[in-house]
Amino acid sequence: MIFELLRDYAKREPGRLFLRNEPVTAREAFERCCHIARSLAALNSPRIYFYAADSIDLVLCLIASQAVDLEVCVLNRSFKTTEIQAILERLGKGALVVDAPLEIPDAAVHQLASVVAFSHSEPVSDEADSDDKGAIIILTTGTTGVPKAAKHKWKRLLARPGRQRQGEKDRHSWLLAYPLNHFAGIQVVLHVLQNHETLVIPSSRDYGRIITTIIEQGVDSVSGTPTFWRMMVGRIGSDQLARLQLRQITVGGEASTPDLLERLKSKFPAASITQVYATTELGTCFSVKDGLPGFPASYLDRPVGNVQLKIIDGELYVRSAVKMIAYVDGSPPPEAREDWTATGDTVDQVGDRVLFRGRKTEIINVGGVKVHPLKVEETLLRVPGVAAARAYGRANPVTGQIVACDLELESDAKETAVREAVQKTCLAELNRYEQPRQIAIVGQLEKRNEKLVRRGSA
Amino acid sequence: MSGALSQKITELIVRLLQAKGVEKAVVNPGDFLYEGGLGLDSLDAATLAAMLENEFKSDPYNSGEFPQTVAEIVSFYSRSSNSGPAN
Repeated sequence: MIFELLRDYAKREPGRLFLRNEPVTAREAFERCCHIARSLAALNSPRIYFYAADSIDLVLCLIASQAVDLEVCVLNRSFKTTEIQAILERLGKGALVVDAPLEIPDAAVHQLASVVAFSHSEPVSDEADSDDKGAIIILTTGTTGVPKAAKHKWKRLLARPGRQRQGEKDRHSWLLAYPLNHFAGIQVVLHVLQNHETLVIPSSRDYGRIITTIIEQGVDSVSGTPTFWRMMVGRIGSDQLARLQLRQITVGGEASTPDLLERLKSKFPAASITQVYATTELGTCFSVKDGLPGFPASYLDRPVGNVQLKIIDGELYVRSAVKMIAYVDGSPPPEAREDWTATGDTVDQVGDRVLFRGRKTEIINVGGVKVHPLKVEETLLRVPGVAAARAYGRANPVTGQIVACDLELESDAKETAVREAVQKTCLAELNRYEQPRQIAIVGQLEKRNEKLVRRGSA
Repeated sequence: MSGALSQKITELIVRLLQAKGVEKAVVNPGDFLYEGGLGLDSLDAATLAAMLENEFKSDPYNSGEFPQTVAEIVSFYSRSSNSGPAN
C-alpha cells in the first residue's frame, strides 16, 4: 500500500519533489525504491531492524520493504548497543541494517550504504502488487518504562482517507520533525505520499539547526510534540520569526498545555493549529482544530471519523476499526472492556470540553490524594523563565509520595527569581497536595523522541 | 558540631514555614513540631522529611521514627556517627 502510494505519486507527478533537501523527485524515489526492495529481499530475513539516522535512504527502505513483504522495525538511533541487543532478544532475531560500525553478537549486521547501493541488482517489478503485504513494528517511546513493540499492517495504517489532493498552492512542505522510529514520523511520510507533497528531513536534531532548515528549505508545515514546540519556540531568534512561514502546525504525542497553544497562536497567527490524538497501539484516532486544549465533549456522543470515545473511571477509552495486530514482545494486550481499548490517558470533563490530565501510570498519590502531573506542569510553565517542566512523584515516608519537579530555565532567566516566582504561583494556583515540595533546576530535561522522559524517582 | 547541626535544622524548618507563608518564623529546639506548636501537618512533615534527606542523606521519618520536637530531629542525627551535614 505504501509502495503503491509512491508508485501512484511517481506516475501522476514524476517531476514533483518528494524530498526537497537532496533533492529527489517522485520518479527518482520510486526507481530507487524498486532497486532497494530487491536488496532488502536479498538479506534473506523476514524481519529487518534499522538502526540509522533519518534519511531519504531510510524512508525508501521502509517503502521498499512492503513490495517484498517484509516486517520492518526502526530502532531509536540513540539506543546503546546493549539496548539494541536487549530489543533483539525480546522481539526475535532479524537482519540489522545500520549506518555506523556496530557489532552485535549473533546478529546479521548490514551497512545501509551497501543495501541502497543498487547498481548490481535487478529492481523488483514496478507493477509489484503489495497491497496487503509487509508490516511495521513500532516501539512505544518507553518514557514511562520498557518500550513495547506494536505491529501494524501498512494497509490498516492507511485505512483513513487522505485529503483530496488540492491545487499547487495547497501543497505543503513537511518537516520530518519526528524521528522515523516514532509513529508520528511514519504518519508524516504517509501523509506526504498520500497527498503528493514534499518532505524535508533535518540533518540534525538541534533546535537552532531545525529552525534554519525550516527557513532555508521553505518548510511550511511541521508536526511535533509539545516538548518539541516548546523548545523550538524558545530558540527562535527575533530576526528569524518573520522568515518562518508556517501555515500548518500539528501537535501530538503528548497532551498539550494551554500556555503552549497560546504561545503558538501568538508566534504564528497565520498558521492552522491541529492537535492529533494517536497512540502507538491504535494509530491516529482523531484531531482537534479549534486551538483549545483537550477535545469537545460532543465527541463522546457520536463517532469521530473511524473511532468512538468514552470515559470510564476517568480514563479515555477508544473503540477503533484501526489498530495494531498485536504486541510482538510478549506484552499483554492493552486493557480493554469488550471492544473498547483503554488508552492509559486520564481525562476530566469540564463543561463542554474534555481535558487531558496525564498518563494513568503517572498519577502521583500524595497521602491518598491523586495529583495529575500535567496540571502541575501547566502551572509551572506559566511562570516566566521556565522553559520546560516535569512533575513527578517522589517516594516519601509520611505521605507515600510528594510532588517533585525538575525545571529547565530559559537561557536568560535568573534562578533565584524563578524559584521565588514558582513558589508564589504554586501557592496561589495549586492546592496543597499539588504543590511541588521539591524543586530542582536542571540544565536540560531528559527527552526521548522529543517527549519528556517521565519516569520519576519514586 | 551539635550547635551547627541544631542551627542547620532550625534553618530548614524556618524555610519550610516561610514557604507556607509564615513571614516571621521563629524556631527553637524545644518547639513541638505539629499542631499546638509550629503547626506542621502531614504534608509539611512530608516536606520536612524530603528536605532533611536532601541535606543529610537520611531522615528520621524514613528510619521509622516520628520526631515530636526540633530537638528530637537534632538528636536523631547526633546519635548517628556518620550523619554530619552533607555540605
